[in-house]
Amino acid sequence: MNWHHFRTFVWLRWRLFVNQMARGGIANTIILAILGSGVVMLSLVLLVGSFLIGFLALPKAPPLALLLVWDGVVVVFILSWCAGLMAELQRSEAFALDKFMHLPVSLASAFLLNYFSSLVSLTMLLFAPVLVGLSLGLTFGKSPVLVVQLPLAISFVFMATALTYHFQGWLASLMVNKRRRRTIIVVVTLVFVLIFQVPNLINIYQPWKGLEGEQMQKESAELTRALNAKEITKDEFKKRQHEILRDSVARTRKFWRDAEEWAWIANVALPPGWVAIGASSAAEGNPLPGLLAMFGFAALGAASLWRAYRTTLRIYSGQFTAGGRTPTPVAAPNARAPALPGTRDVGLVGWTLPWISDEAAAIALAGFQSLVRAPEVKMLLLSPIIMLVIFGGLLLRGGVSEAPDMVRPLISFGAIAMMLFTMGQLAGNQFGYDRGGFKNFVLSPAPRREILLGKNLALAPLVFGLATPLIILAQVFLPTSIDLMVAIPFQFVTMFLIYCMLANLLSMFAPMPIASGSMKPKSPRMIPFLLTMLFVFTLPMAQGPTLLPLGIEAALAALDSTYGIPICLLLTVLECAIVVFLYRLVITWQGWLLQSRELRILEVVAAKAE
Amino acid sequence: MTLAIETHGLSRYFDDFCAVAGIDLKVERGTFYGFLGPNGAGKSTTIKMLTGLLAPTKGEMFVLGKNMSDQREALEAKAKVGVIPEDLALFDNLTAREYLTFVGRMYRVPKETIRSRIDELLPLLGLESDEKKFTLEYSHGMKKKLALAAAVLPNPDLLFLDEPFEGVDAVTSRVIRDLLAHYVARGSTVFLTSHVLEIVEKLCTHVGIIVKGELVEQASLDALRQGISLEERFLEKAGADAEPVQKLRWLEEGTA
Repeated sequence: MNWHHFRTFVWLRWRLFVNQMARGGIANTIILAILGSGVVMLSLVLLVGSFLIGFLALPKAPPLALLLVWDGVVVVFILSWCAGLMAELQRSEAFALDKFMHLPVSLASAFLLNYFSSLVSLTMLLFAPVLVGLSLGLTFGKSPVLVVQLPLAISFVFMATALTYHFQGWLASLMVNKRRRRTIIVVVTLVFVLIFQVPNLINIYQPWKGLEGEQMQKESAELTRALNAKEITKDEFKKRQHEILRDSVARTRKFWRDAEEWAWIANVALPPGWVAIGASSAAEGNPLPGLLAMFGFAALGAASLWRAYRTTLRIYSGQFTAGGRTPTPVAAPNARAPALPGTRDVGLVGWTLPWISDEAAAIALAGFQSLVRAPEVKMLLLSPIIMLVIFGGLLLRGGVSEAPDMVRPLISFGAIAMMLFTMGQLAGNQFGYDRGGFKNFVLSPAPRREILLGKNLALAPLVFGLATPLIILAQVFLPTSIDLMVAIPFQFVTMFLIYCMLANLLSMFAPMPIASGSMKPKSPRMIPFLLTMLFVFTLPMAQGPTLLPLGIEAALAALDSTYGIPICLLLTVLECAIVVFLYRLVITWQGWLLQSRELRILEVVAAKAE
Repeated sequence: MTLAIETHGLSRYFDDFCAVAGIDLKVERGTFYGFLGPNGAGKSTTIKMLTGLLAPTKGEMFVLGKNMSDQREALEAKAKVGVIPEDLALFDNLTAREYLTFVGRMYRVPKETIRSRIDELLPLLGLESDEKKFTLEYSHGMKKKLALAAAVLPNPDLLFLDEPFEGVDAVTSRVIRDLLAHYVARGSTVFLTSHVLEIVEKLCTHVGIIVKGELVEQASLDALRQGISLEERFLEKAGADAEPVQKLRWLEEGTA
């Protein structure tokens, strides 16, 4: 790589960063500087802390403990690295090739610069000190043979980053076709989310617990029955009880022995496990496995990087194309059969919504259509769907079947609140996903109140569609009384309208431009981020009053003063009516606010990323 | 004489930089007004202010008799105005038909009218075969054509077109020119910016020239030309150096 080019690119990267900061304003720069200093401090703390753990705590630990510690570090690193990867599935080059490949720069130089730029991330800033500190701590504290651990850890990071870089490049080659791109983004995100949820699901279902506990429970129950039936004496009971306990301990020990064996096999079979194997072997005075693993990582990393380079080369040289169908020949304009005016159906966007103005209906339907098609929104919707699967699974397993009657309606409240919460990123940045399309609203003669109404209505099917199955499940497995069940839809509407009023404010005061196909803001700024945090913390407080009717009924029931009147239902309907009235007033005011702020919003959401 | 566009001291500053310096535009109804200027002269900034996409720093502006500084009147004016903005303004995830339906409904055009107009506009602009594609799959020229269709669909009284011929093929360019000529002939107004002086010369009845944010000329095309071509007059007004370009000796000497 040409040293002059390298220096120029480093300068360019720095200049772009400084300019971006300058555009964000002084407050943004100060807050980012504080956060940056915090991350640097944290890195130092992690470096010293992990060194001390390696130097003081681990020297006396058995090889198995070392194996598990390194496995833990490696697994957390991989999960964290993959989380970053998920946010930016299609590799976005730090330096877009088309911006400088007409200059006298080799593709290999550009590729390497982009790869090195991809290493600058929060995960790396936090994990590099841990890997270095732990390796050095063990070297000085346990055995000099463990000096092999530092290059081993570095070569592992090289392999992991090169492999993911290759993966991103491969995805980019697939995503040259824009339609296929959408499917790939959603499928890969779904796979990642499911992988991240595996530990969570295992923890919830605890498959091992049932087997061990059930056998011991069964044996103990049988023993107790025999004692009660006077088939055995008390001495025999004690003796047998002792034997059951001893067998159980033996089974547990065998389980852990098997687990240890499987852990070794898994560590040998899966390359990320080689880091732990290297540490464990070096701790026993054998550096050879670590050295072999290091060369293995280096070879895998180099091969991945080479493949990634080949992919970049092919993309750059146009060997990947959008593909798709061969265009069908179009008849000359004069020969074309005249279209029958007004006969084609436009689908959803052409629908009329009862009691809703034409503008609001158009915005709601076009907005909904756009939302369900946008890959970034599909990615956002995955979180509530996963929540649905997890909590639905819990309900199906009957994990909360012991819930008292007055607590059961809280499950529906929780389901609605959770769905609203997980969609906060979308609802609180309603214009950010419009990007340049927001100009349509600025140019339109529609009253701004109708624009907000349409935007809120576009969200409604998503929120209601996701929360309703969970509410139905809750009602099937944890049924409430009829009056409380009837109250749920009214409570739902109340919660949604309160949510919309807050989300509208956030959308107007903290718009963030979102790049197409990504969930990440294009130019993240601190003030909108802080306002979003405020929204997240305010939301539960704002939703709290919707529980008042239930609370009042519970209190009156405790005093035995309900006289058979469905207090909760009546108060919920009343509250819903009040909130609908309030929403009508607030949205009119918010419409004027939108009109006064629309140019500022446009400036932000239509901004192009550098 | 009724004015479609009227501004008084319209200015826009970006920090210390003056993009538009107190211009007084007067565009009569029923005219085809070409707004010319070199790159960075302030054409797009002016059009953005007139359409409500950018707030002026100072000055007044009236579009179709409505004061654009007043929020309520601005909405009334927007109901009669069609725009092709500089970066267009399409939604990535809608098809052409969906997008046009959306725009039509925003202007309260009856659904049947929207449908029939779309059925006429898409084939006219050569977008019929691509109407099932999402706009993110469109080329720049196709996006421009779709933006034009969206601008004319509500049948507005005034059209603001920022570089409507840029990136458009010759066939469609002809279609657009004919369409706009008919539109003006019925008494409506077009305000367009373009770098293609030949097109401006063919189409426009009136011309304004803006240089470094200042309106240096505003007249009918005939009054402006006074026997010479529009290009020559434009270069004269734009302050192009009459002297030959100073020779770049290092360029003549070959590679260094």
